[in-house]
Amino acid sequence: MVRMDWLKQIGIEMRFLGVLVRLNLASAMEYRASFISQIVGMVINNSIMLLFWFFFFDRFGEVRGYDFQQVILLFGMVAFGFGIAMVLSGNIYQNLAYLIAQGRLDYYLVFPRHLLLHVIFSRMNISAIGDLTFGLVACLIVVPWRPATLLAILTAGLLAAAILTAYGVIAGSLSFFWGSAENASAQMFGSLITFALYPDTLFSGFSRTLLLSLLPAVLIGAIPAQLVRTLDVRLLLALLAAAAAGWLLAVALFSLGLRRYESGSAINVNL
Amino acid sequence: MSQTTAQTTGHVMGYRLRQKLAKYGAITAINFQNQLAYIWDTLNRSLFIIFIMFIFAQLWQAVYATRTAPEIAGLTLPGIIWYLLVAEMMELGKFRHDLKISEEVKDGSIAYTLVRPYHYLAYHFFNGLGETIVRMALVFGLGLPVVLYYAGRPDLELWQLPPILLVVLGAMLIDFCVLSTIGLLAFFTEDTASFRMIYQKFVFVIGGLMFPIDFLPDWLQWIARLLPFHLTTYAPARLFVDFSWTQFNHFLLLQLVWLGILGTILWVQYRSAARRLAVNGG
Amino acid sequence: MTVIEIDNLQKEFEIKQKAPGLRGSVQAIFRPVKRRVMAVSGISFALDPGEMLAFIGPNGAGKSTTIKMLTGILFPTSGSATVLGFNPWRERRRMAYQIGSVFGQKPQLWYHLPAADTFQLFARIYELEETPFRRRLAFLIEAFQIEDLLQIPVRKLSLGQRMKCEIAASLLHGPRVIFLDEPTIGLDVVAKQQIREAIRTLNAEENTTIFLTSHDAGDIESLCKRVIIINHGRLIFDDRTSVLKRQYLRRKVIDVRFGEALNGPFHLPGVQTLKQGTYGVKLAFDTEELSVDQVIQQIMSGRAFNDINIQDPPLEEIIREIYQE
Repeated sequence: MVRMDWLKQIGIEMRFLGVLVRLNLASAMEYRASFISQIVGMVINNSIMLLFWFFFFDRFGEVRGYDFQQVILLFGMVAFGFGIAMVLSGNIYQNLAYLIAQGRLDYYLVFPRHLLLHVIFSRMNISAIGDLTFGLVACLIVVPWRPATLLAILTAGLLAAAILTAYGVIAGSLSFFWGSAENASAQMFGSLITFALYPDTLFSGFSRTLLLSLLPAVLIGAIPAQLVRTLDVRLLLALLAAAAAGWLLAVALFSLGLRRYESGSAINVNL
Repeated sequence: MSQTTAQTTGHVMGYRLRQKLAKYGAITAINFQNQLAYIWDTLNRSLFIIFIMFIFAQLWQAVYATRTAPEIAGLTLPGIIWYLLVAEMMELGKFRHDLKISEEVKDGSIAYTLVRPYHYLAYHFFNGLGETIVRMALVFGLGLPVVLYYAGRPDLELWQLPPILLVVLGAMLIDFCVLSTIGLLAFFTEDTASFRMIYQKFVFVIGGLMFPIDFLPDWLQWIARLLPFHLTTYAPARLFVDFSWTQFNHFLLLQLVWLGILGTILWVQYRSAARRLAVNGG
Repeated sequence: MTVIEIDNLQKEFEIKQKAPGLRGSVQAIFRPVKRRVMAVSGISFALDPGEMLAFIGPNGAGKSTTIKMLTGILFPTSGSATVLGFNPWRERRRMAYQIGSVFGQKPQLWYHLPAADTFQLFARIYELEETPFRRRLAFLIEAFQIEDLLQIPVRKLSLGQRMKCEIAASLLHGPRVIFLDEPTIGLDVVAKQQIREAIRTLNAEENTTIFLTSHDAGDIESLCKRVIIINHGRLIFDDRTSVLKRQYLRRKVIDVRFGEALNGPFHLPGVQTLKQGTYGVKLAFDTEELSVDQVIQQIMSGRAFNDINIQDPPLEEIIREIYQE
């Protein structure tokens, strides 16, 4: 009885989130020109970065085990995961911190839906559609089209997105505890992406440990890419564990912060 | 009699010049003070330069480790790390007035500012100068510890600074002209932001931001040197790590030529914009 | 069975005080000075099902704080509250299915899409089954007369049209209590009438309890039989609207039209002449000093009049007077 209830609840939330995503997309598509130019702009942006790598490898061959194809896969996976995360839950980059700081959570608190999911799914980042498309195409160009590989791309992308979203929630939740965390959270998030786009083998020792924990860049780029390449189940398990741990932490921190918010001790109080 | 007149004229001209300098200086100073007030906020945004310099250091250490020769296209490992810091400084310190100009065009307020006593573009230049200098200083200052750690002291002599700064100024002026042109395009198109983005992309690959243009394949290098983009980023950075009077003369000359060309384009654009306003009435 | 019951509700805030300037900012980091503010200091009242209450007070009086506690958004410092049998802040999500809210200044309809799309979203939010949802929607469309507005992007609607759709949206899930905050702000007279009419219909047909906050006296007068006034965190008035007007009404305004033309200034002792025309006069007096029948008798003696009109002062004036206490 209880388990059915629990499953039913998940189904209800998912259907709700689905409608949110649909409305976000419809809303953005009201402005065709802007919609398309944002997506195209991002595709061009990403292509230029790959162009740099092209000339780089053309001149220098491989570097620490990475050649041009490896970098395309790495870049593609990061873009794909980032794209999924920002298309579905566009509020995780900077807006969450802003909403919390401005007391705008009140709007969401009036509804009977899961608060955190409702908040982060209420926005779609349009240029991220460009990232998503670009990333997927980039991956597909450099991997063999076997069912297992294609499944791996999808799974790795979703898990990377989950980890990224959890990280965004943690960064944004800092806003519950100190005033203008918007810049700090944007910095954290942006740094994560920056590191993820570069070959992980460049980093060793202390910095590598950091990039597997506090700033999990390796978890959203290199490991998903490696999973797609090697189809190593252990990597899949590692990603699952990381996503689970990340989300546990995110939900815990958010709940703690929410209690603070609801007791009115947030810095900005609208009397 | 004539001597007194000459003296008087000289005094008057000197006075006018000082007045102008004082006016423009004041504009720069006011904006500079505003910028100081925003330093905390900017610092918050500047983690990027520390991280990116760290990443670059790792990347190029790895590249140079695979080679026996200590130099690539005349640059050592410390050289390229310093190069990248200066390049990032030039890039992140760029003017941002193209958006302001395009907004002023769109809402028509450009009509008023064009009537002001000081030249419209000069106003934008000195207005943005304070901001630009502060940003550049911040980027350089924050990246400095990382670069000093991985690359040690720069291979620079004090007397080389003035000519380098001159080339930096030239780079800023060229960048300013390009962005002004982009801003004024608002008379013809809705979306000038895409043009800015395209400009940035050019600088990225053939302007010497991601690596010196010497690393590009020959055919592309040749094209890059024909275009003005490398003068905004590559020229100052290259000069910083590998100064020579030949290079300096070469870059300065090229900058002057391009300033002339871009300046002319801008002048034509500006005139036609003024004419447009006079005809349409704002 | 009361719908809302509050008992000695209190809310105290701790606000960090920051001195101006750079030194102040530095001090705020290391030795923050905190100030205690009692936003709501022990208020109690109860609402019955179907009641229409106006909950008013000046800005900073503790109004929004109270509403936030009632909707479960804020925890109180002490005291208790029950809304529809729920503890608002502990059972917020479960209670949310049964309450609705409209904030005049915080729209819920998606701006770039037609209202119909937001209605669909609300159906998902409140887990409404397809058939009852359609039936309910049809009913609301009829009640608010918004048939033609539904497929137009909300940004193209006028403010009045938008508010009607907003309120309709908040009613889709059949809430038993709705909180209306400034529902007619910025609307023209016709739109205000329509909204008030719709709310009245709703209350009549479904016995929905209405908790209204409005600075518009017209809203209060036309909708609410009961008024609660809060100021400085305390309730300073809790009674019927008519009592409010009578109790704080000390001025009466009388319009008289006489049969014959007046010659010379019209004057009665203790009565202020507001306006005087050829045949008519507008008078004002304080009922504490003179009773209504005293004044009327004075008017009657000596002259025949064709028409007489006795009016209360506007609610705004009354409220202003109370706030000043």
